[in-house]
Amino acid sequence: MAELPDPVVYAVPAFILLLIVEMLISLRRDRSRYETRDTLTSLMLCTGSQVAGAAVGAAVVALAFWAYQYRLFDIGIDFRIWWWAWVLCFLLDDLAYYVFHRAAHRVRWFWASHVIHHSSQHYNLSTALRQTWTGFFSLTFLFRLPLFLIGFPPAMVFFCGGLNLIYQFWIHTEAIGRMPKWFEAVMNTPSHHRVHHGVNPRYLDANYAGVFIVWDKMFGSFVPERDDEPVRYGIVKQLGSFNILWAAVHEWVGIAKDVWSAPWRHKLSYMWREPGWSHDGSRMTSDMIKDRWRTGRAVEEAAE
Amino acid sequence: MTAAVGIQLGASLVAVVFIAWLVGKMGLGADPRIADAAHAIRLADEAETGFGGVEVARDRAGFAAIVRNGEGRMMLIRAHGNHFAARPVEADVIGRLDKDYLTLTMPERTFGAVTLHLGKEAGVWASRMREVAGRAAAARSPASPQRKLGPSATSRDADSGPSFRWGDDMGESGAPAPPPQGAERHG
Repeated sequence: MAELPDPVVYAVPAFILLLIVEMLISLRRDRSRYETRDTLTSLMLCTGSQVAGAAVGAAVVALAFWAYQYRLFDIGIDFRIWWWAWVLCFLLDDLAYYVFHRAAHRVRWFWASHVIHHSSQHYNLSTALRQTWTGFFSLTFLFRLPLFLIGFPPAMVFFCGGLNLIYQFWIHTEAIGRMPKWFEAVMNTPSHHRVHHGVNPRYLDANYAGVFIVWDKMFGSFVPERDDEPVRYGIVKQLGSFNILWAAVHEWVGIAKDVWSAPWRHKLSYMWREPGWSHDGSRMTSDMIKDRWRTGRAVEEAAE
Repeated sequence: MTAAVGIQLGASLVAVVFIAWLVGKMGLGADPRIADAAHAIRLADEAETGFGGVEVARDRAGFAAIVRNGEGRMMLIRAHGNHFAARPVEADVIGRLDKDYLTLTMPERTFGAVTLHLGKEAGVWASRMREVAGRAAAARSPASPQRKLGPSATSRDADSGPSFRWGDDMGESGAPAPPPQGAERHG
């Protein structure tokens, strides 16, 4: 079976260089874009993610090959012959990422793994490196299985996934305002992804795309960034801590506590319902926050 | 774990330390302060949409504030890095009043304790928080009279209802909170 290199490994020097460039820009434009402890937390979470990835990497590959044996089509990996399959694989992998990402924000079990990436109140290139430690445990690899079942070779899928991850690095910045219109229309950009990291009610649960923003436009989850409403970053209940371990596992701890204390008929709901859901309505989901925000605006507008 | 992975991790750690050192060396960062009551109310509203703060006790240096809304609910806001983080002040918060200083220890250990320099308002706000604990007690056991809170009422004291614990320097206890004289009002 063909083996391909992990493109992310080769991108790391560029990541570090771009981080330094962004820091220099922040030095000139806005020093508050970086904070030592926040950056340290982000980078240590990245290192922890590498460790977690190394620990479960073999299992993920094994699962990919297990699914691949039931493939519908035989697709080769030679780019000169199968270039169209590479393009298709990249597109479908990005669609799979969109589905995963949307689920990661709407199902608490997946959110518990993904929340780590949103736990910073900053939005800079170091935030991009704040990656999950518990992705395997939360079964996120399931979202890629259809690609193996179609017949895309695991090496091709993982390579495309690596390229997707590399693309998503540069969009985690406030140093870039808007890209050219045609680019903003098709591709995920810093502007679109800033919205995704926003906790303003207007921006909650939007722009799940990895590379192509067209998925959000197709499936109704696109929200444009507004110049009159700067994005506030982080999570609805800000962590208020730079504790690395807590950032990585706090939502899992929350699930465990809720499942333990909930009435039997509600226990599963604390895992599969949306973040913020509670059986007695004592907490707020993003939909509830948006409703309350809309009501408040309507009252304000009526008063005016 | 292969040698290659070990080398990758070693290189990662070196890069992490270098970047973090560079952020500090460049002097990046901010010194966030809560400027005034309106700022505190806005922060409370950002933390909980529609919170609707009406009254604020702001730490003299602006590092933290307590915001009360029309329903009597309170929100603690404190600086966190370059930004702010907030938590509702509920019955399981441990409070300690020491003359002009009010220290609140949140049940969430990683959020930690926050000391606010409130001047003469500190006692008034401490009393308000005692009322929050009292209301929680009443809600839990509406048939029983409100138990007088004292230093021994802790979070482990399950029968007591409220788990509000106050230090020995607590001023008037159990008295209803008078309207604060110096509190910053809004709205």
